[in-house]
Amino acid sequence: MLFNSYIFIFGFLPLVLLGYYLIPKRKAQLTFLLVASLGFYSYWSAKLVFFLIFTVVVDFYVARGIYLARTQSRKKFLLLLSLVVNLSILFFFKYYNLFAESFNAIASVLHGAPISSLPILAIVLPIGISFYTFQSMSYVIDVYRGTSDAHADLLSFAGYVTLFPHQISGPLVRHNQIVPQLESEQTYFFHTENFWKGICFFVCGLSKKVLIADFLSAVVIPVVDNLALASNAEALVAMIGYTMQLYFDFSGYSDMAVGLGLMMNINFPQNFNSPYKSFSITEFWQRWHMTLSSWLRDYLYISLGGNRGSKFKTYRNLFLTMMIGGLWHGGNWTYAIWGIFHGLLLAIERFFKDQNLPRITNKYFKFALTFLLINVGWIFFRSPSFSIALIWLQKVFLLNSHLSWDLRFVSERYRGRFFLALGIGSILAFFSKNIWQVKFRTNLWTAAGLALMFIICLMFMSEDSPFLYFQF
Amino acid sequence: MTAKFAILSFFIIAGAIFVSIATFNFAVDPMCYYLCKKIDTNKKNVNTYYHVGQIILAHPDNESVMIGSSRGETTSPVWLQKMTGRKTLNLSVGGTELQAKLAFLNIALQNNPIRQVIWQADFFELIPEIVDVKMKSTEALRAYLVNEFPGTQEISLVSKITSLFDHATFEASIGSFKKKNQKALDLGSGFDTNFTACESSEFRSEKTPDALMKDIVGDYDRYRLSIFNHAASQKYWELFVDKMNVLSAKGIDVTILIAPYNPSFMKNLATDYPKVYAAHLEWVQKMEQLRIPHVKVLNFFGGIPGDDQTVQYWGDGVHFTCKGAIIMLKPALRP
Repeated sequence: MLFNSYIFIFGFLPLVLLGYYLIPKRKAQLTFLLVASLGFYSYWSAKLVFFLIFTVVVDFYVARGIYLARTQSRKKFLLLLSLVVNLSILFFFKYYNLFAESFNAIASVLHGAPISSLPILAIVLPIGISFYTFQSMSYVIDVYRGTSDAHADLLSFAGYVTLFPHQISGPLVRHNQIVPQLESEQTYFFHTENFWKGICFFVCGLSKKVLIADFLSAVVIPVVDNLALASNAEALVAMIGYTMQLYFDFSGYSDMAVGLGLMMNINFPQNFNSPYKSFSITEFWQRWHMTLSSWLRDYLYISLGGNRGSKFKTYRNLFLTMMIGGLWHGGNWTYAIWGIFHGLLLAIERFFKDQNLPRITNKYFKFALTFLLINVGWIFFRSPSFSIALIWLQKVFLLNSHLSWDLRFVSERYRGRFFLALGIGSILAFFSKNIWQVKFRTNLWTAAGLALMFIICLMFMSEDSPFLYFQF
Repeated sequence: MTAKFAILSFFIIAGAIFVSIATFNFAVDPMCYYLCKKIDTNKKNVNTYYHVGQIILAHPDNESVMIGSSRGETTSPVWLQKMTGRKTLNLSVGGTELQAKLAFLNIALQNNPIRQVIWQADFFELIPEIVDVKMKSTEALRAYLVNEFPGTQEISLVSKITSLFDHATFEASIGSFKKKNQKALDLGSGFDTNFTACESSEFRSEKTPDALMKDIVGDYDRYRLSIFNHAASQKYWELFVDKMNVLSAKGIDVTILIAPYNPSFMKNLATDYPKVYAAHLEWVQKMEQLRIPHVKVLNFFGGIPGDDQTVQYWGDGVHFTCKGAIIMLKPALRP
């Protein structure tokens, strides 16, 4: 069920909100929320919901075991058990085919003839698996590290992992942010200010998705699918279009998730802070998908040693963290290349800072260079293969032999909307306050403006349009 | 203003806008989905299928029809008239499959003294999944659909309601007030085509060779996603054959034109989708084996004679130019 669907807006959401606030006791409300969230997940796949439940139950009891364990070796064993179970499921669903393809390719090269030692399987990826696995795993790691006690109540923990607003595509929330809220009586009382704020977040997120990201996607998809024949102008338009599409799609989803949380009096953390306003790649990662960045920092970068060792080790850790972060997005080497590209840029920026080497001072140049590098990174992220990414880059940087400037792959039907969305998107991304900086006034004009935006979104919502991050 | 009042205002205003748009769309009914019980030549609308029905009713003396999809749209009805010696309507319209084609034919048979049918055949007309929602939603046309067949189920109440506030309906409502969107009830598709220019050896479509190449790729993508992933229906084939027999029994001359795809499109189809390509060949073979009196099959699936694969013959991957149409049809229609 998509947030941007009639069934969600007119069916699921009103029913859940009514049930949530009309049911009297906290425990019953939380149970209702858990059932609703599992129902929400089952709408995608009734079978794969069992992996979600399995993850929740295993990690809850493993964390409790770690908390109660008397010896360090037992704690370590239980942590490893959780990591192996979680990562095995994640690896199989997400990376098995990548592994099999790569293995077969290497074996073929060594053998000198095509070999298919490992079969390629038609695997259906459980939606949101990367998000819920990381969320659940982080709890076990926290208990192991002693930075958190084990939660006493399976219901609260299950409510946290499965909570439908963030279940599929984040924000990647931490248990210590959500579980205390789910255990507080106050959460379950209707709070008009939060509900109003929730509506504002939800409608703004919906507008980002439906009126900007989807308008851009209608042009980006056909160009990217046919890059070999695309003109230089189309390659450039697709690059900038995708950069904006991804931001408005994903931040739109996050805003909607935050809004839904607020409607239920649950606060989620900020996930985007105007990332395209960044003046460096380091700053970009402090503003883009902030909950994943902080997760990678806390559970991967620091586990690798962070910046506690030599400078070289710090660069290595940055590089490895970003490469793994890249692969987290899916079983394709292009994601790893995207991660490596960002890891290298982060390491280079860090090196310049450490060595006190002269750096670019002109802020406009810094901004433009950062944005260009981000765009180049997204080319690897979006391309189905490395060779396609190279074709795309060649065309963007005018390195192909036959330069051309037509826009034939940009359908005339969508052209006007595309450039309008790109223009508005650019203004919002570069010059406007982001939604977290806006004060939503409780006046008639704000209500009327939001109502109008909401109706326009409904008018353009007739086709299914999944969020880009659903595939991760 | 308190948050409570802001929330109430939001829902009241949203509700009011919602109801206003739905009422406006219902009253204008630009697609003839809600208020057109039957085909009315005076009804202003932007529904291309309903418009075909209007054209048929506007020409009660018509004796010949060309039935086709968008691939038939480049054929001039004036040229057809010149060739057949009969008043001819070209009822080709984008997106039509068997059900829509039969519906148009039935309207023509009921309202015109039809003596000749030119059937521009498409493989995809046998795929029930592509029956257009416009066809299913237009009550005045639904009466002519063969309803017991797959793909023709009436659209759900939810879809009907959502169509009331869909942006496409709203844009159509606004557009229906613009004069330029009101199509004339002329002889149908290709009426404005300059067939003398099409017949000339100098004829070229306005497209550049580069643009043609890109459009072939674009069409291939479209077909790959919407047509090649569905199977042809045996029931639809039987329905088609039954109709040909009915026409034959009435003494109506039928010319079935099997046109090719652009050669490079065809090559990709054969390479990438051998099963779909084989299904095409099987369909062509079955067509050729039709032995029905008054029914003539023109098989050009292998290519248009003289086709140089350029903009002279092709508009894109699947649409031949008016020149291509004339070359294929001329020998069979010559009086």
